[in-house]
Amino acid sequence: MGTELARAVVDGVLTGGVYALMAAGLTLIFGVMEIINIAQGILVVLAAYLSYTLQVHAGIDPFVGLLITIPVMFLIGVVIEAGVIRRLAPRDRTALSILATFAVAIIIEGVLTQVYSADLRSLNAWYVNRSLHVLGFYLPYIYVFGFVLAVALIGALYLFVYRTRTGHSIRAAMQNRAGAQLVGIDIDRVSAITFGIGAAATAAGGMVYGATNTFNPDSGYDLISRLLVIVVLGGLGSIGGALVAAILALVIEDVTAVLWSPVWASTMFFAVLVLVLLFRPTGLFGQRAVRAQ
Amino acid sequence: MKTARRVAIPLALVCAIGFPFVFSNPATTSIAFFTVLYVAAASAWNLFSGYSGYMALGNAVFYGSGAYFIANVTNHLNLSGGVGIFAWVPVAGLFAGVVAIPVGWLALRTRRHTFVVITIAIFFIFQLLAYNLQSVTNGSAGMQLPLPPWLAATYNDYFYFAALAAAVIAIAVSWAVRRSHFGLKLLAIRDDEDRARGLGVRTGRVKLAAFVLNGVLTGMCGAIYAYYLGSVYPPFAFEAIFDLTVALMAFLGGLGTVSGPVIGALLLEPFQQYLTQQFTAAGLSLILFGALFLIVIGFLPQGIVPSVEQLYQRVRSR
Amino acid sequence: MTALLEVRGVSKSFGGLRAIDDCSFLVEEGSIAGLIGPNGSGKTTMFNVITGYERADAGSVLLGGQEVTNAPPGRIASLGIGRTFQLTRVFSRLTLMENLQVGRAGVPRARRGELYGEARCMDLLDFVGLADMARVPAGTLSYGQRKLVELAMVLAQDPRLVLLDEPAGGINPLLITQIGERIRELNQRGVTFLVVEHNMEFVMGLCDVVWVMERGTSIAHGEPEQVRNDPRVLDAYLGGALDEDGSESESEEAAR
Repeated sequence: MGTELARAVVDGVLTGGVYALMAAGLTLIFGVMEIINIAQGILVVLAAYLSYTLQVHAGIDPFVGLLITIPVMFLIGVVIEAGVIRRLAPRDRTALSILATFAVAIIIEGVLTQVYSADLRSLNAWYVNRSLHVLGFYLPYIYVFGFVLAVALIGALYLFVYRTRTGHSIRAAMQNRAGAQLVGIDIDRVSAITFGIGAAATAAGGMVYGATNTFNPDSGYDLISRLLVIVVLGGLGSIGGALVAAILALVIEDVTAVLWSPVWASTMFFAVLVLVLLFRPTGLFGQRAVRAQ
Repeated sequence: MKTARRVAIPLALVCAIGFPFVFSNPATTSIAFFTVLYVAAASAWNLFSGYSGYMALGNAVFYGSGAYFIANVTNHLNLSGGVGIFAWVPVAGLFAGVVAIPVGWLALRTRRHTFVVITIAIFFIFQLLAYNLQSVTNGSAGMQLPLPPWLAATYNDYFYFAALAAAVIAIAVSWAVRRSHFGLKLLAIRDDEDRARGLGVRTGRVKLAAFVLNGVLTGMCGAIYAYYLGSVYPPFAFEAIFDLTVALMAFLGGLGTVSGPVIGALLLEPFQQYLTQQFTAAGLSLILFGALFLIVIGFLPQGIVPSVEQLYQRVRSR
Repeated sequence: MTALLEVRGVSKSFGGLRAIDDCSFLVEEGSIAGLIGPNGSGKTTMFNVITGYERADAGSVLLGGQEVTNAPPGRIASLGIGRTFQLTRVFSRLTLMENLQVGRAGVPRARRGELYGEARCMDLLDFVGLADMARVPAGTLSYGQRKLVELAMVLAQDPRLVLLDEPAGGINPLLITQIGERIRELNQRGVTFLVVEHNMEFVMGLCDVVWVMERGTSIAHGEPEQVRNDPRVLDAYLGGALDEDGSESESEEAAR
């Protein structure tokens, strides 16, 4: 029992890191643009399919394939922002963005269904089925690599947001959109880049997800529900919060599977959010609740 | 405008009641059934989300609750199919309303942005509960409802009239709320919640009341739908697309108006049914649906009814 | 006369910024008091604290001797304090009449019929000169008209004390005079006023007492003419003599 429990915690931390990366993209988008990107889940699936296609049709290793999928996803994000988000009426932007990104998600799901059908797929590589043997644990290599990659990318994201000029503009826009515009920050450019980053974050996450799960176009719903929970749990707009929340929620889920039953594990994942919101309506690290208008 | 309305409404009612007798083809009445059901569901959704401005994307929770309630009742009481089962529909609605109380209390503690997310999260919890609470829901095996002894030719008609009754009730309630002080408070919350609170409005209670009302009406729809299908399964009872569809209808017709959701449903549901019948390729229908959604949001952000009203005003003031 | 409103030692900080710093003042019942001060002196924040939109970090607010510090805005309204906003806050999609009606919930049940009957509401709209727009959505009104609507909304609740945040800001002189007259009329009927304003002429002509805030605390008070010539006040306002509209006099400008 003890080892199983420890294993559950370790699994939770490792997968949590990967989810955190995808959630970081989502929370960044909200923080800067005050919109909730419901398409984030299906973008992860899209990224998974991209990695899959590269591997199956071009023989490219999934990790190497990231060199292609990350820029591609970034571009897709920019296109979505410029083509859809930017055109939304400013009043009720957040509400409209939910519906609009939901629509985009449905379109992407439809395209994926047409192209790939509803068959379940999965990524395969040597590190998916082999495990690292350390301290009596068997850790699948993919989990370890994925975690390291996720942490590295989150670190890179942090550096970008806090150390570069563009990152500075992003943070300014996050604090005060109108004010940022007044000092000459190109809000359109910042929004496009932010959304692009948010989408690019799904590239790595999607690859790891695709390697550790079987997936089909329908997988988007489960993913977005989890990402939303993580983002709200951590506090909308807080990247660090997303990291903590992702690890916390996934550890609790995995531990519940061991201590109670796998059947209730996923329910607990959502229940954690409900419990936290009972006591902290803004999430673990959220700022005081966003004002009504 | 007023006299036009006074004529149009009874006329519409007569047409609605006479519809299945004129167009008795079961394929048509099936579409009619779904359309009217969605009129009810969209009106219910609008009652809360449209009037208060808090977008709830978890209404499927009540839809499913109503469905599972009536499934359980018919099974436990060993009822046989027939018109009598419809009597349980309002009770199913009340059950869903009771479910709405804790759900609403929890979700409404948060502000708008978080509110949407938490309604989605609660939706997934309920879906998972449907899979896991085997004793109540029978898990993924689902539950069966008794088969009514009606002829195939007129089978749909009974459900059509039940849905029509639900729609009439939903519209009537929407209208009554809109004209009442309660409705005024909701609309004020939509425009400026803090100001409303500053004036002494008990915003928490008002929102919860509207939420519960929405739950009751939606629950009734779910119960009717379950009876129509004859069986209840977790993915059908708790379906993510349901909320989106209902939101789109209300949006298309005009959020916050009484006739908006009605028009939205009348336009969209036949279209959606047509899509599913014509395009068996599931992917294509999704693409078209999503594209349609985007077009509606992009070009008619206010919805049909307000846009028409504005046009009417502009023409009149010339 | 007893003080209807008393603010004692209130402080409020936003992060590192001390917006209000141990500020005290009072408003006598039946008077029209003015609250002036340079930009950033904390006047609107003070209003927010009094009416419950912000929490005070320290100090207390008393209404008729009763503690109302940090009470929620709805409760403040029901205790008889009404307040208008600098950037008007009306319900834009509701008609003027509907805007008025929203406040019904904020008065005790027993008085609702008396205060919110159709006739009285129309009277109020008439009082602010907007009766013929009763069925028009508030969002289509001009800034000045919206200010009048706000005033009507506040008056509907029959308040003892009305806090006006820049009632004369951004509207034409004729309208300003009208508003001044309305305030005086209401004051004679027994309503107490506390007015924040930058328009010196308006304040000097209207108020019985003027309090001056600077950097979060009150530095002077007295009758308008007294205050106008008080060296501390002159110092606070850019260190120069004050013209009618609160700006520096030409000689001061030339000397710089």
